[in-house]
Amino acid sequence: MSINAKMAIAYALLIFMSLFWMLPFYVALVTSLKSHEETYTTNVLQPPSTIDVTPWISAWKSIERAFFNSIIVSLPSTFLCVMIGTLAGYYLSRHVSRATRTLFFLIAIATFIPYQILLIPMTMFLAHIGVMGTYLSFIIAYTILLSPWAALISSAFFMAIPKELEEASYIDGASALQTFFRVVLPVALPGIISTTIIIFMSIWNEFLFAVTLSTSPLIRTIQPEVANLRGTTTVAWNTLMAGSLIAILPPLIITLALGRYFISGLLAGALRGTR
Amino acid sequence: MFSDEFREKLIFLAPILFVISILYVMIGISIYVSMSDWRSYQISLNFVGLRNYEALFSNPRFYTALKNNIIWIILFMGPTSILGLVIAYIMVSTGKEMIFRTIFLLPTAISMTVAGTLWVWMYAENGAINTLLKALNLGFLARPWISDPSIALYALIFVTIWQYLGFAIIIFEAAIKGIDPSLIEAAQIDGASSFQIFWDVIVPQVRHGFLVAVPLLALSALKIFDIVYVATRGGPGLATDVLGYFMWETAFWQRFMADGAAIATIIFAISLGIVIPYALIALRRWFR
Amino acid sequence: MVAFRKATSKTSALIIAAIVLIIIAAIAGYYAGLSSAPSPTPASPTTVTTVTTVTTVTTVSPTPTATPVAKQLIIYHWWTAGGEKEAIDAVFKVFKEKYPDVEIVENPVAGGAGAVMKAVIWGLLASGTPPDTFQVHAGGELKEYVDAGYLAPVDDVWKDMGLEEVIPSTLQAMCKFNGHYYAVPINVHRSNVLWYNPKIFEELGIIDKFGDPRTWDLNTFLEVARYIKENKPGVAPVALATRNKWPLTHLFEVLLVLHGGPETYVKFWAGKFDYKNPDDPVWSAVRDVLKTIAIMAKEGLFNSNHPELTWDQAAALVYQGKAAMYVHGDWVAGYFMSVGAKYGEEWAAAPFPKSVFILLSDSFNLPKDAPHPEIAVDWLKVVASSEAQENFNLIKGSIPARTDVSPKYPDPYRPETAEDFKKSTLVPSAVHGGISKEAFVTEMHNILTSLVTSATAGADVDTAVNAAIQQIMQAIDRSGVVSFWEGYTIDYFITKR
Repeated sequence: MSINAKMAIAYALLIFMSLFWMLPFYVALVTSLKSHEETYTTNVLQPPSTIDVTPWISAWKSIERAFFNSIIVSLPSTFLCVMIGTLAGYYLSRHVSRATRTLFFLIAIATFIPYQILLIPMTMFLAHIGVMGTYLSFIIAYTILLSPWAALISSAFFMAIPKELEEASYIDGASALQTFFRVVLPVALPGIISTTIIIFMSIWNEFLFAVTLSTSPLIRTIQPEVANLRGTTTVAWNTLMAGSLIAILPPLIITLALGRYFISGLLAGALRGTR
Repeated sequence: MFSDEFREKLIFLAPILFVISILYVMIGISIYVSMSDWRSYQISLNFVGLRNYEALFSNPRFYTALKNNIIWIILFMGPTSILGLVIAYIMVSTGKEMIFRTIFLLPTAISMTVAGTLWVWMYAENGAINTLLKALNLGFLARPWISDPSIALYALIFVTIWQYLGFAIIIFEAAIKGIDPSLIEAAQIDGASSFQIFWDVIVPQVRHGFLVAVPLLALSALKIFDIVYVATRGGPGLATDVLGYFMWETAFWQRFMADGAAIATIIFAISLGIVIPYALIALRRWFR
Repeated sequence: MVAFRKATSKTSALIIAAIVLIIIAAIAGYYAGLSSAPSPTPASPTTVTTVTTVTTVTTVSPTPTATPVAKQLIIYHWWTAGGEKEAIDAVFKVFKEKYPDVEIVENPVAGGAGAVMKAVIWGLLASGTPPDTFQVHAGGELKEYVDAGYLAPVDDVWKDMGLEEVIPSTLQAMCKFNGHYYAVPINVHRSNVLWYNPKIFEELGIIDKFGDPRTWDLNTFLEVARYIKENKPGVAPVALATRNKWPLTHLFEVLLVLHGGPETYVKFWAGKFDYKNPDDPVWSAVRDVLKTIAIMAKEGLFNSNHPELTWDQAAALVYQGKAAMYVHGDWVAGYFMSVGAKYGEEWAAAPFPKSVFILLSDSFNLPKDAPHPEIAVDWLKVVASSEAQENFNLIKGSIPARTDVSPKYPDPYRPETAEDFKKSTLVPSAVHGGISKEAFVTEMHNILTSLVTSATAGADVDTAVNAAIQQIMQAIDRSGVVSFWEGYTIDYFITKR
């Protein structure tokens, strides 16, 4: 078979799969712009005859608070995780010894602990220190849960940075901390961005702890809120689709705009290294 | 007082040490709770030994949930990684990776909750899947995907494949790109077909891609909760019940925290079987 | 290895200080920013009884413990849907007229008596920051909170408002544990009602051939379903909704009281029979009911899309003429009226059976560490008052808990219910927090839906039913039903008339 024919088949396959893969998004978008009657009467694949934005408006009204709650909760948690993680990741990438290797191993295990086994003790702990029902409960929980992963991802990036830069800095008399902030971080910035993106998206998308800690509609975050829209009685699919699309806007935008960083972050976190 | 080196170690490592100590202590607490008698609104932490585990192992629901998880692991990690490899290969050979990569990555970026919600709509009686099938004259294949207990589980597994294919693709893309190009050139010079190149050159070289993708995917399949909660609540009947959902229902619906902790401990124990080898291998590659 | 040099300079110290300050500022900022929890009192030793070493220094309370801020009533409930919301607002109105200077801090948690609401309340109770009052189903659901020591008795409210004279003994029993009352009921719903489409019934002459549904027994019910299926195949004889599983258990409890009678019903749900012995008479009634359900599933007498439907969607099938009958509680009437379905044409209702009334009741209580206990008691008295009960129930679609309040119902259905409440034998519902322990009910959801799915798939009915019975035996064991109701007799729950 000629090269051109093979290419054509390759493209055809990829395009076909891509279309199928994007289908749920298309269907969600199209449904979210239909009026109530149209949602239930027209063919689900067909675009709306007239674009109706009321589903988006009522979805936003329902999940507005949860959306902002997620932001209020995700940003500080991400910041703390990245702070704690990069400090550790940097040190571990520069000091290889039995001790640090053990620590690294423990961090790797800690990253992949299934949340189910942490659910009960974490809620006991948070209830005990009296922060249940506050934003702080989320921030504390997510910081504890995700710092190890931040350490893992960032250490992969730090390992790729040559040590010569730091050596120059030490010769000039700077301390490790100064070197870290003034010399290493700027160079490692892409890696830091990747780490931040991965952690942020993990927190934004997290569900198990979110649903357990969202003890009141005032602090409920976005994922439990979307699950709630589906509710215990009849659901308005157009509104639900609009709400779902709103809920995934930040991750979608990040993937489209900063996809490169997302990908290298995922690869680093999979211990694949940052080739 | 403290040497500079010690102070540095402190600043850099103390926070993460603190965090992982908390995590490991929490695991210990969970294990203790699983051996306590906490089965009501009131915290009760009297030690009762392995009684809850005995009860768990004589509960048929444990075995259905475990079976579902195992099916999930097998049917999820296998197809996802293989499909990921194939698509990555095709993608790389066209040279236009960026756009396709982004497309497949979008489902990976969204939450499992929303993925579940989108697909419940897709799987509805007059939803996109059935409509498509009918349009292609394959209407006899249309069915109530998540209401039919014999296929609901597989319908949900497909949703996770849909989500994680992008992840598998980028792992294999990186693996393929890491192959020494001279190997491929040599094969081409020898007149190998694309398929032969794929099978004899690429696949052996990306073995480590599988080493990475497979454990992580298996781990995800073990922890599944979001999709089951949003789509079927474990139903119809117990067709889509998984350990993650079983644990949540036991602990938070029935308020049997001790029994829930026991299930969680089992989940953790199984995950260790995957994570420990994975971490050891990864470590060796790094700190060689 | 690179040697790190130089003492930590001022810069490092500053950086560290900055990090610490940012963290403290963030914490302070968020403490200040919040607040769904009321200004708390420190956890009193009785509420969070535990072993943990990190105890009594539970002073990380968000705001300084001061005397409860203004005059507030902090209340949690789940009445967020249309109709329900207006009903509770009517009670707030009565309350505000009496106590105009009290601010009502409402926390409506959507999702019904679900895990969400209970987890919310539990979190608040466990951390020592309960609300002033919260909605709970009278019966086993209430008892779980009482057993955990979270609630204070409200005997005084019952005495002052003379409730014992106007509330039937079953409902009293559902509010009274260890000899004390712990809640004040505001309404009563009936669980055992048959909703049917009058047009279909007339067309097929059901009532002529089989009699009025009020008089049917289990066999008649099955026969009617089969008859409908044969003569009108496009219509589902019995509507069912199993997406959230519980409506099926609801059907089970009604059929059990229909076939086994009130004593068998109570014995089963409270575990007060020799459950390990498969020949116990209670099992024979249960077996018959399970068989009926399995047969109905196997013969396709339910709507096939039931795993996708919620209770209201199944009800909708009736008035839309797509299903003939639906066994469900009388909140269905409220739903029908809210969608404008026409009574007598599109829907009709019959108590099923008439002689027994399965009741469930929403009630309010008094947590031990309520921040405003006197206001909470005032609220409870308002809830117990005739005015509030009349206004609330007129809008809500239920009937008052007090038998001496007789609103003028606009619908034809409720007058009969109110009369039956005074004249029929009463038993508490199991599915809605009355007679059973929730842990057991949850297991029943799974056992019954599994039975239906295997029967639908063609399993042999007897085998499937035997398997279900085995599972139920284990469930009774596992969920601790027997010890839960130890010390309470069967007669405690039944008001025989």
